Amino acid sequence: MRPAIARLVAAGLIAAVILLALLFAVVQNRDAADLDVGGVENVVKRGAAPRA
Amino acid sequence: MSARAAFWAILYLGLILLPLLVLLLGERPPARGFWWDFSMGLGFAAMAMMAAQFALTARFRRATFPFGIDVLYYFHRILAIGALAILLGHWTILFVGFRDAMGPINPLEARWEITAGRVALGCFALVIVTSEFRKRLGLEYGLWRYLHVALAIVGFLAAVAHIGGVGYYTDAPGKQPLWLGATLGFLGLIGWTRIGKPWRQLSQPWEVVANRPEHGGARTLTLEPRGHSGLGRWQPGQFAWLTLGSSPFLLREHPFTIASAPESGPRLEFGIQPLGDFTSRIGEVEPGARAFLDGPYGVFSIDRHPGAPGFIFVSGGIGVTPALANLRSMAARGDRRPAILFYCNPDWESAAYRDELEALRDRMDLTLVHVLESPPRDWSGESGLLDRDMLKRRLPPDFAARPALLCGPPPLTAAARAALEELGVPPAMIESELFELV
Repeated sequence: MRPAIARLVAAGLIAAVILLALLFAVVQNRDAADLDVGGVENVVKRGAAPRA
Repeated sequence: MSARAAFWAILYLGLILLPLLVLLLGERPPARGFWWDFSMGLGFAAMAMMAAQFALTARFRRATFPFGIDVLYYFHRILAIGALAILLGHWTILFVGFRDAMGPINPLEARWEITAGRVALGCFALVIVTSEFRKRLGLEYGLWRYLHVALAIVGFLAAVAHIGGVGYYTDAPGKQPLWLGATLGFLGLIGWTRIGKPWRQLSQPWEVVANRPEHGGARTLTLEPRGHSGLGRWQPGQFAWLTLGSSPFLLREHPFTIASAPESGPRLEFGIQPLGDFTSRIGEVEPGARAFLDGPYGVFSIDRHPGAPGFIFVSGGIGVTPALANLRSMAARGDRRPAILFYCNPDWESAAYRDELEALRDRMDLTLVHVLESPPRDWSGESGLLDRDMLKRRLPPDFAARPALLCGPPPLTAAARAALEELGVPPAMIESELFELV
């Protein structure tokens, strides 16, 4: 394998890892955002009629 | 990329991405805001990358074979810098946005798990700085290796303690075994590399039987196996890590090309130029000295190109040893495929093994092109630095179909690679050995 390819693969890997960390933060906070919409009332509503 | 190479690359990718995927899947603790969670994601990612570094340097021969271990070490170096950058991202977000949560810096007042995180960051930063600037810092190679291993292990254990101590993302019942398994797995890798392998070498000692001078101050060290059958099967042009002394546990090993051909039996020769901290004392090694070997490794071999119509070798200085091993092997096998060697040296006296190369021309189809930076007055050969025009002038008509094997100082191999590609040799046909990584 050429050093240039090794550099490219490493750069791709680092980018993938950062993207996954970003995805983790987005997914984690998307759930939180869902809960925030409508505040406590919405949570109570969801509790009454849970999603399938 | 071959299927084997793809398999190991995917396995490695999985190793790095698995901890983050596990964080994403399964039960997750409540969110703490995008930047906080992004910072944590970066921290876990950096930890996984740092831990996987141990796998890259564990020298599993099957895993190294498709790539070449020199490239894996190069990869190890780049990924370490990337992992440190990600780790700094984790720290910077917390420092800028959540400074209160980090608490005091004084370890006597700070929470122990936060101090562990700071120790990990410090160790990993020192690993990179001491590796990238070893020569400028005046660090002797042997001392650097001790420091490198110690800092990496302390940094890794501190990072594990940091993650375990904070515990927020790993306390879920399904995730604890994963982290415990991953931690033990990586500790096992360290144990294998630093204890298991040397232990195996201990039962397979070698003895220096000759240490002879060559042109240009180079030395040829000849080793014979003691109480075992030798290295087993290896390909011409491969190299091994050599330890001279009573113990293989001391981290005093150095990689050298096996200059002899596999066809010449279990006795091995190493061509060594006294250039560095360790090699400068190579002339003092007496016959009878004990030695240990870890190998063979490397991909600089004609055996990886069985269908090639011939070969191009470009060597600089002591970088001629892998070419010599391949040529010796071709001569021993009666391989009549044509080979051309561009042998670049500062001057005529520096051309080690030039007599043997000359003799090999009688036993095989070898064209020898000496390239001297400072030639003697009556020199009629090539002079100056190897370049595109010189290659074009000397290469045979079928050169683009021949694999090119380059070994020497990085500026030479880079120039040769660029020139060969410009002349039409496909990049995939050009192999090079990377030395002097630190």
